[in-house]
Amino acid sequence: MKEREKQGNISRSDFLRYRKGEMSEREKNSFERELQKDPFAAEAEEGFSEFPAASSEKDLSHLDRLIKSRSGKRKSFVFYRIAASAAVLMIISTIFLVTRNNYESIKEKETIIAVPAIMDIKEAEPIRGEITGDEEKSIAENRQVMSRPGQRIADAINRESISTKAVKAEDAGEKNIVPQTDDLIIVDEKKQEDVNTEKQYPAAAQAVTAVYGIRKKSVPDTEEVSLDEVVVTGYGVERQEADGFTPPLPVEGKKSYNDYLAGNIIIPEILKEGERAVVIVSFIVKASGVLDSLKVVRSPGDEFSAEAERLVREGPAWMPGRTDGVPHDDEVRLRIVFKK
Amino acid sequence: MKRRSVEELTDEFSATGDLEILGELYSGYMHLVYGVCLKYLKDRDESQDAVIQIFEKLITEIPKQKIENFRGWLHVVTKNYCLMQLRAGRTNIEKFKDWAIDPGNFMESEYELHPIDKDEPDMDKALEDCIERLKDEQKKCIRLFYYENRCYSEIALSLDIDEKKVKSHLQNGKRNLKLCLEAGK
Repeated sequence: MKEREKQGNISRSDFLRYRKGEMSEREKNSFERELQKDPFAAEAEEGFSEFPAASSEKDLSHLDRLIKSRSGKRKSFVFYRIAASAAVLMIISTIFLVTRNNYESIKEKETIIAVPAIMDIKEAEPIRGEITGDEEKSIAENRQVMSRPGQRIADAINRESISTKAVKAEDAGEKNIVPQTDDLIIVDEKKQEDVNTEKQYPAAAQAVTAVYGIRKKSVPDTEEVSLDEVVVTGYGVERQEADGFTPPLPVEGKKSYNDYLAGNIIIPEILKEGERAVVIVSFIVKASGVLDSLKVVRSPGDEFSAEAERLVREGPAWMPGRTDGVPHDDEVRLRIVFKK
Repeated sequence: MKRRSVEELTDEFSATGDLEILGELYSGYMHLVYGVCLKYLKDRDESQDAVIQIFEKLITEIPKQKIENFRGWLHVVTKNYCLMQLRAGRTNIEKFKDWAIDPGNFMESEYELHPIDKDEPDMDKALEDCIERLKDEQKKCIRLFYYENRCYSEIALSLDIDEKKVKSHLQNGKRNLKLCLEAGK
């Protein structure tokens, strides 16, 4: 009963009255408060807001009739039960009549659909998320890693410039996100299936995530690494040379960390619709697992820096990097993309 | 007709396949489905078509599964449908076959009520403190909306900002409040 009562709170006529301006200011507030509680209704109202109330009203009564004629007759039921056994011709003609509408509508749409509307959607985070998921998957599939031990990056400054270059290359939309430096590598450890949000729509679906750890032990085959816009990416920059090295990692795993970022990022309001901003933060994961020396390496502005720092500071714990099983201090670099 | 609960209706439909029952169930949500389709598809004809297609899909999907939260599930089904429509490079037949429906696979948390949306917020003091810490515009919007019962258009007028901006301040403010409340626990 609960659901029906809940649904009763916002009836069809409430939507129409709201749109027609027939509500008092107080009624509008109560209606809007119901919308705040109910994402389904809130999205529906967004849709209605883009069309005149009178046309929506007309469309809804038209739909009422269509659904009634589809469901009102008993023979539809009969059709379901008996069609399976395919007994009587008369019934087959009923099926034809009943389903013809669908074919027609499908056909119609084949012509309409030619213009994909994805670019037009301003607030359709779920759709972006979904697409991103797919694209990232293909990125993940495309990436290969080769191993080339024995090289090292001289010092931190060098590392920094390299990884910044890598980031810039991405920003510029280049295919090759890694500069021609033999000792820099990208190990893609992230399985992207989980980011395929086709079926789920977290509130912050606009921030989809990927983690790439940069190690200098192997050289990637970087073809087709066109990173998607909507990605929150993390870099782990590695210091040590020896085999048996594992970089610092989020205790609960990268996926979980990415979920945390995507789910908790607060996009500063100064970011305009469709824009993106990139913040790179760096910090040390001490051998004890404590985070230290958190700093912003690059950022378009204080609001973004503060949010990136907050995310890391309040975020899940990290495991220290280890060499041959021995934990030690190590630097991590995260790239966080804000996108509206 | 006696009003039956959503659960009774889905169960009965699953058992009998009686489209009249499904029609009764669907009619209570049709305006929401239509509105969401308008939002994504931005086209009245396509959206009406979508409402019918989604009904057709329910005929086959409902008997297959036990749906715990019909409303949330239908919301996701609707969004998925629109998403498939918007995807380029596929035929409509493929799209129709393909759109996934999985009752377990949507974010339940989306339907959790925000503390401030509860009729009697149970953490008045903490909530108040957190509101105080919000950025100015978010704070103003939250106060006007929740404490002075102003509607979006009134708030927009009094702060001299766009209504869309009011909504986004409320949304961001609520998100910040939630974080603040969770941090305070």
